[in-house]
Formats: sequence, C-alpha cells, structure tokens
Amino acid sequence: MNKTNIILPFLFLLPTFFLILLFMFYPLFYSLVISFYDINPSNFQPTKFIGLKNYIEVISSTSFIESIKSTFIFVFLTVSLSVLIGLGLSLLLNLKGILAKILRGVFITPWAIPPIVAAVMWKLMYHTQFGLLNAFLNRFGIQKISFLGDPNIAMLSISIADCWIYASFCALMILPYLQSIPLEIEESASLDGANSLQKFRYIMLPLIKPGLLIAIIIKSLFSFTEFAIVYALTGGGPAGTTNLISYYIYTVSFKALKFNYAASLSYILALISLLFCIFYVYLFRRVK
Amino acid sequence: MSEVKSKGLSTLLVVAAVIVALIIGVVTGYFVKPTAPAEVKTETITKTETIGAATLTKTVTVTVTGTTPTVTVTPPTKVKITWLHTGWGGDTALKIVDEFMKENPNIEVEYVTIKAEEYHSKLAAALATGECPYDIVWLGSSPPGYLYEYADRGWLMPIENYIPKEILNDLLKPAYDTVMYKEHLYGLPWYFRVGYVIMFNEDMLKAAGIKEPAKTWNEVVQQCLTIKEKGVCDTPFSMSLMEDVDTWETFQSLLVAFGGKFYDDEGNCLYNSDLAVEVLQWMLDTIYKHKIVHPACLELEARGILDLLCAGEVAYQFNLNYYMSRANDPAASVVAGKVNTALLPGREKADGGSLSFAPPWGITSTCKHPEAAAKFLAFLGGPKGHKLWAIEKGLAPAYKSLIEDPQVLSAPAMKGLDIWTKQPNVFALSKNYCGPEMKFFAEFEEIAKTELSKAITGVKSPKEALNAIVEAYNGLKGK
Repeated sequence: MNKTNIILPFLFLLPTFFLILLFMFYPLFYSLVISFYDINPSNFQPTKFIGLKNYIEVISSTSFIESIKSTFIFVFLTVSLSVLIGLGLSLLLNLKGILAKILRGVFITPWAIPPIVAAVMWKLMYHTQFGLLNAFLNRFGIQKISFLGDPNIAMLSISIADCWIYASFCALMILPYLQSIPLEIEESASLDGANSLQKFRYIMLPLIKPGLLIAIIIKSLFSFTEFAIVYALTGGGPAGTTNLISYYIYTVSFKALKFNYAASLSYILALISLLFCIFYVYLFRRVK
Repeated sequence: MSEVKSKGLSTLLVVAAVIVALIIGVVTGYFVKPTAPAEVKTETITKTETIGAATLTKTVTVTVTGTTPTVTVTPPTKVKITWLHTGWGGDTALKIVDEFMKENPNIEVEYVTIKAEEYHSKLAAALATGECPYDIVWLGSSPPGYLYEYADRGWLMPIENYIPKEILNDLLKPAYDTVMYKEHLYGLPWYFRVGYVIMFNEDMLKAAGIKEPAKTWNEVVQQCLTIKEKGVCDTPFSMSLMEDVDTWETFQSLLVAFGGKFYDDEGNCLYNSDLAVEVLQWMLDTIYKHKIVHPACLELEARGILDLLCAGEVAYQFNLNYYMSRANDPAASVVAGKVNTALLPGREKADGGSLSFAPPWGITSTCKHPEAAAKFLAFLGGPKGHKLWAIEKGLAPAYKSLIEDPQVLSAPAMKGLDIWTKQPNVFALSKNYCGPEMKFFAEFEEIAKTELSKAITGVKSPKEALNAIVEAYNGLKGK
C-alpha cells in the first residue's frame, strides 16, 4: 500500500473530525469550564472562578436529591419493564412463518415514531375526560383515573409510555442472540423430555444473556437522559414526582438561565451514568 | 503506472487543499470578529437631535477613510425591523403588520414566531449573544413577566423618549405600572389581562334551580354541591391544578380575590400568611372534601381546562378572561352562547379583586433602528393595535379611551368586558401584586409551582408548602 492510500482515508475523515471537535468536544469542554465559574447574567460568559461551589450547591439542593430519586425509580421501572416485554416480544418475533414477519414490522413501529410524538399520543390516551384509557375503564364501571395528575401513579404512567416506545428496541437487541441458538440443542433437549419452560430457563436464557445485558445497558442510558416523555406528559409534576434529572437540568438552564449550575448538574449525571456503565460492563464480563 | 500515480497524487493534493481551505475558512469565520458595521457609525450620528426626528426619511452615513471622515446624506431608505412573538393570534398579528406598513412604507416589519414553551429560553440565548436578531419582543403573560429580569440583564432598551406622551397618558394605571421599571419605560402592553375570572354555564345553573351566580367563594361551593345533588353534573367546578405556571397563577388570583396581598410595604413575601393558607385550604377542600372539582383538572393547565367548559362537562370555571370568547365560539364549543360571566366572588361579598396584568412588549437593547421599532411598538401596543386585538381576539384593551369604546364593547369576542371592568380594584392594582422588582421571576416560579403542586396532591400540608415558597423567595432575594 503506497503513502497516498494510507493518508487519503484520514484526509476524508478530517472534516468530520473537525466538526465533531467543534460541535461536541468544544461544548463539552466549555460546559466543564463554566461549571467551575460564576457567569455574567447578561452574556453568560464565565466571570469568576468559584471552584466546586456549584457542585456543592447541587449536591446539597433538595430539588436535586428529589430529582435523582425520581430518576432512579424511572430507570428501574423502565429498564425492567422494557427488557421484560422486549424479551417476550423477541420470543414472538423468533417464531417462524408469515405472522412473525408481519409482527416484526408492527412491533418496530413504536420505536420508529419520534419520542415526542409518541408522548403527545400517550397524553391524549391518558386524558381523564377525553382519553381512550378512561373511556375503556369506564365501560367496566371504574371511576375516572387521573393518570398524570396523581403523584402515586404519574411515574408509572410515564414509565409505561416510555416502555411502549423502547420495548421493541430491547427486543431487537435480544433477537439476534435468540436466532443464533443452534436448532440441534433445542431438538436434543426436546428428545430428553424438556418442556418449553425448561428449554427457556436452561438453554435460551444463558445463551441470550449477553443480548439482555446490552439491552439493559443501552436502555439504562436512554432512561437516565429521558426528556421528551416528561416534557410532553407531565412537565415534571405532579408535586415534582416526575421531575427527572434531565428535565431538571432543562428547567435550571433554560428557564432559570443558570447555565453554570446546569453544567455541574450535567457532569454529575454523566458521572452517575458512567458508574452504571462500569457496573454493567463488569457484569457483562462475568457473564462472558 | 507512473501516470496513474501522479494522477492519484494530484487528486490527493486537491482534496487536501479543499479540506485545508475549508478548515481555515471555518476557523477564521468562527474566531475572527467582524469589522465594525456601518450601522454603529450611523447610530452615533442619529443620536443628535437635528437628525433624530428625520431618521425614518433620511439616513446619514459617516464613512471614515484613513483620517478623513466624509459625511454623505442619502435619499430615504427602507429600514427593516423584526417582531418576535409566539404565533398566538397570527392572523391578527399579520393584519397589524400590514396596516402599519401601509402607513409607514419606509419601515418593513418581519414577523417571526417561537412557540410559547420555548420562547423564553431561545430569546434569552439570542439576547445573551449581544447580537440578537429580534427588535420587538414579547415579555411574558404572567405577572410580573420577564420585563424586570431582562431590563436588569441589560437586554432591554428604555424607550420613554420614543413613545408619544398621549399614548402613555391614555394607559390604564396597572398597565403603566407594568411597563415602568426603575423610573424608565421599557415597553408597551400587548393587552390588558383582567386576569382570572369566573365563568359559568347558564343552562346548568338554571337546571339546578340557581337563579344567579355565586357572590362569594363559599357560595360557589354551595351552588356546586346543589348542581351535584340535582344530578346536573358530577363535578361542576374547574380550575387549573396541574404542576404548571397556570396553577400558580390560579392560586395567586384566588388570593387576591379573597382580599390578600403577596408582599407587604417592606417587600416581605406574604405567601404564607394566614389568608394564603386559608385560600390554599379552600382549593383543597373543593377537590377532596366537597369533591366538586373535575378530576381532569389535576393534569391540565388553563387552556386544557377550557375544553371541559366547552364540552359542557362543568358548570363553573375559574380561568383567564380571554377564554370567554372561545367558550362562546360555536366552532370550538358545544355550549357556545351559554357561557356567561359575573363579578368575581369575594370572601364575604362580591368584592373579589382581580389580579390584572398587562403583558408587555419591549425593544431589545441591540435593536439597530430604535426609532422605527418604537414607531411600530406604538402602533402594536398603542390604541390602534389594542382595538384590533380586542375586536378580533377578545383581548381587553389597556387604554382608557378604548375601555368604553362602543365598537370594542359590542364585539362578540369582548363579551364580559363590561362586567369585568366593574370588578373592584381592577384598574387600581399596584405593582405590588406583580412582585416588587422580582428579577429572579423565572427561577422563583419554577419552585413555587412545584411546592404548590405538593400541597394540592397532599404531599405537603398547605402551611408547609407555602412556607417553602417564602423560604425560596427569601433565599433568591438574598442572592
């Protein structure tokens, strides 16, 4: 291979690398810098170095603690629901025949819809007076439920909406592992008298574990940074119960215009996500 | 073979040159400051009195070449100004632009919109750059709006020297108070927001044997219970209760209607006064004790609860005055023509004060043609613009001369104005109700609405939630 052929690909990559540098790394670096500074309220430029003051203020803030609590509940609910339902869907999609092919198209649709559109759709379905869900429940004599106005169920409501969007994504993460299970193993298990449940428990589950872990890792990251669902459905309410950290960052930065404070919040969120990833990767290695 | 090699090398060199040029171009464009624009110099000249008045017909440009400045008087030029809004009432807005441009052919107005939810953040980001592309901006519809905050950040231009005195003299007092800050005029009102009013479905009240609407808030409860007992409607009352700015305003408006205040004369916050606790307790009782509030209210903002009234689902609604026109619009409401209004109920008698407010327009400090912008602002936020908004969109005018204008009063969209203008204190409320110079308005509002929601949903007691609001206020004030 001559010199030209070695350099050329890198030259073609250069513009992209430059754009990434400008639009990704520069903002990342700048936000890290302003998280240690006071900012000028007129032009948001850093003025005075204040060290970890913003970080200390964030950690000692009640709103942040409440928001982190809500985020963990949301992550737990959405990851477990999405992965469980995704697993079920992937088993369905793994079936042979024309029906499986049709189902594949149907199940992928929610993930193909932009989350904000899906969220607006769910808002209409959850409407206490005009919503589909209450109309359905009413047929069985069940009183109207305020799915998004009751602090005890609002979190579950937004988690279900989120799960509807991402379950098919989880199914797609698991499906290749299911499809790669050799038929012979299943056949010999059947010959040995294993029933469906046993086949799933002792053959399928160990073999699809890596897929499950990938789905859990990616879905966790999605859930940690979820914004559209909260923005469209509850606006962080009722009583701040759905004020997820990403939405909290949005209100702090774009409503209160405290960009330095929001930057420190973002780095704390990044750190939490990173710790989760390290934990998952550790689990992943153990499984392998 | 060598030809192929040299061809490859030349292609490589061309690609490399293009990439390097691109990078240099981007880096230069990004980091190099533009040379001083001609407008800066023009502005210096137009500040002189002799030219100031004639700016719209003549432009004077100073060109400095080396050390010798030359002054050239150019023929009349057209200036362009940009008006940023949320898009609300777009057809009327465009009509205003057309009419203004017909009267002022030398000024071109560009109408730009950003939806309300993102308006503040996008505008603030544009203003912070110091090169905001917008000249005339909307400053929020909830008291006290962003006027104080933006003025303190240096984003707004004082305009007292640009607006004709007769316009200012004609303004209603609360509207005037809203646009004045630290002895400077920072804008003109879009309209006069009477505030939250009581609306009712006449047919439902009649069906329950109620002859006239309630005069006190306790009477509202009693009448709703009667409506419920008579089987006319299960949950006859509605008000916004979602964790939203509208709910915070609902509470503020009720507090005023009960005769309360937000701040004392020293500027101390009174949101946790005994009366404030009583008001919040009244709200909770309507939901949980009397069960007269429609359950959907817990998840809806002001615009959302309007649909309940329009669908004939509720008998009473506490909502913004300008929604009356929609509730009586046959295209939007099944109870059109049946929705009426009354004097706002009070604590003891019908003396409930309104939380009136005049949502302001302002001119940005980066505006390059302040006189042209001020001329448009005087049209948009002056009596001419107000009359159009009133007749077409049901927005009450903020001018004394228009409040009793027969054309305004007889406009179908202005149904109720004659009643609301009789409400006690409607034109007398001082700036105190809007928050004394609250420059941390947006941040405070976020905390207040969450705490209020905690009380409404039973997470906190009314006293605890209101104490937390006052604590947040004092904390922010201390900063």
